[in-house]
Amino acid sequence: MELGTAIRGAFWLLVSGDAQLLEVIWLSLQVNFTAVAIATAIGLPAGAWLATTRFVGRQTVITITNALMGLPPVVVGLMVYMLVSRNGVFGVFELLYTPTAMIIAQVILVCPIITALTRQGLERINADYTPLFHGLGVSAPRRVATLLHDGWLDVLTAIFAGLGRAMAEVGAVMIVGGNINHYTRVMTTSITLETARGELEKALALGVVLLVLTVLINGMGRWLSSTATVSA
Amino acid sequence: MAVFNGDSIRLMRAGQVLLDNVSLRLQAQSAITALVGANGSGKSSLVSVLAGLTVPDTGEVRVNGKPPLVRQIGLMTQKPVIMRRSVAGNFAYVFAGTNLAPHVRQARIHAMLLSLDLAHKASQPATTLSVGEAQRMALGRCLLQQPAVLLADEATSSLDPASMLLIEKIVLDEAARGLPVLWVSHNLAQVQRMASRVYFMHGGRLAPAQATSDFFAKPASIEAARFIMREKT
Repeated sequence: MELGTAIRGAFWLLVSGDAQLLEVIWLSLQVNFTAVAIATAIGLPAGAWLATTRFVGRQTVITITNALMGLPPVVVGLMVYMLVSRNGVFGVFELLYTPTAMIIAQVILVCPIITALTRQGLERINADYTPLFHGLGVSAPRRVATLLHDGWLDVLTAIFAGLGRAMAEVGAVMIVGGNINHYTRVMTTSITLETARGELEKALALGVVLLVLTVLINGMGRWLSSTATVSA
Repeated sequence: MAVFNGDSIRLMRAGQVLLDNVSLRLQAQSAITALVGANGSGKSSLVSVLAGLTVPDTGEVRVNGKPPLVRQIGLMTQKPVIMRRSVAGNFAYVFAGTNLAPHVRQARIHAMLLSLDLAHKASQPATTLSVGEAQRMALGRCLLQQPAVLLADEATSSLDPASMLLIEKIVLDEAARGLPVLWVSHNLAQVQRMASRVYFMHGGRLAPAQATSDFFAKPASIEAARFIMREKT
C-alpha cells in the first residue's frame, strides 16, 4: 500500500471514530491504567520504605530493584504464561489470554520502575530532613507520610515513567493476552498484527494515538521533573 | 532551668579518634556558650553527638540529669533543613502529632513569623527563600519546638550581616530568657558579642571553659592563642 493512501486512511479512521479502533484504545487504557494503579499501590510504599529504612541487605535490595527496571518484557510474558497456563501454579484460575493476565504482566514490569524512582527521589529528601525528623522525634510512618507529601513531584514522575513503560509494552501482553479480537487486543499488539497483515491504515492510526499518548505522558513526566528541580 | 551535659564522650571513626573524652556543661545561667576551634578539630562531630545524630562509642548526653527527651534539643546547622512546603507549613510541621489546640498553634506560628520578619513570606514556598530567610525560618522552627537547649553549628556563617544580626538578637533574647545555647562559630567578633563562656577544641579534645574575656586576653593553651591569632588576621 502506498504511504500517502495509508496516512489518509488512518486519518479517516481517527476522525470517523471507528468502533473497532476505539475498542482497542479503550482496552489499552483500561489495562495500562489498572496495571499502573496496582503497581503504584505496591511501588510507592515499597519505595518510601526503602528510602527511609536501614537494614542488612538494603543495598542488595536496591540493586535488584534497579536491575528489575530493565526486565525484558518477553521474559516477563513467558514467566506469567508459565504461571497462569493450564499446567501452571495459577492455572486453576484460567487467566491465560485474559486482560487480567495482561495486567499481571504489566504490574511486574512497572512495579520496579515506580519503586526504584520513588526510592531515589524520597531518599534525597529524607537525607535533607533527617536532622529535623530526629529533633522532633518523628515516627517512621509519619516520616513516610511526610516524604510522600513533600516529594509528590518525585512520586508523580515515577508514576508517569511507569505509565510510559506500560503504554509502550508489547511483548509480554502479546504472550499472555494472545491478541484476541474484541477481548485482549490492545494498541501495541494490534499495530503488530495489522502491520503483518498489510493493513497499514489501522496500524498507522493506532500508532498515531499511541505516539501522542506516549509523548504526552513523557512530556508531563519531564515537565514535573524539571518543576521539582527548579523548586528544590 | 535546664542543665545540659555531655559526659566523657569518645567517638572513633575509621581508626581515628574524633572526640577524646569530651565533657561539657551548659546551663541557663551561663547564657550563651561558644565552641571554637580550627577546622577538623571535632566541633561538628561533637554537635552531632550532642544532638543525638551520632552515637558515641562511650559517654552520654543528659538534660537535667536524664537522657534527652524528644524535642528537648534544638539544632541549627549551617545548611538549614528546608521542607518543601510553605514557610508557615514548615512552622506548622513542628506541631503535627501534638495535642496543642489549633488556635494556640496559629498564634505561636504568627508570633514567630512576626519576630523573624517572615510574616510577609508565610505562604511562600520555603524553597524560594534567600539563605538568610531560610536560616531565620530554621531558627523559628527550632524555637517553636520549645527545646531545653539550642545547639547552633555555624548557623550564621553564610549569612548577610542583616540576617546575622537579626538571628544574633533573637538567640540572645532566648538565652536571656533562660535557654542554654551552644554557639559554634569561626567568627570571633561574633563570639565576643554573644558568648559569656568559650570552649576551645583542638584535636578532638575540649579545653575547660573560660570566660570570654579571659579566653581572648589569657588563652589557656598555646593552641588557643595560635587559633585566636590566626582567626583575627
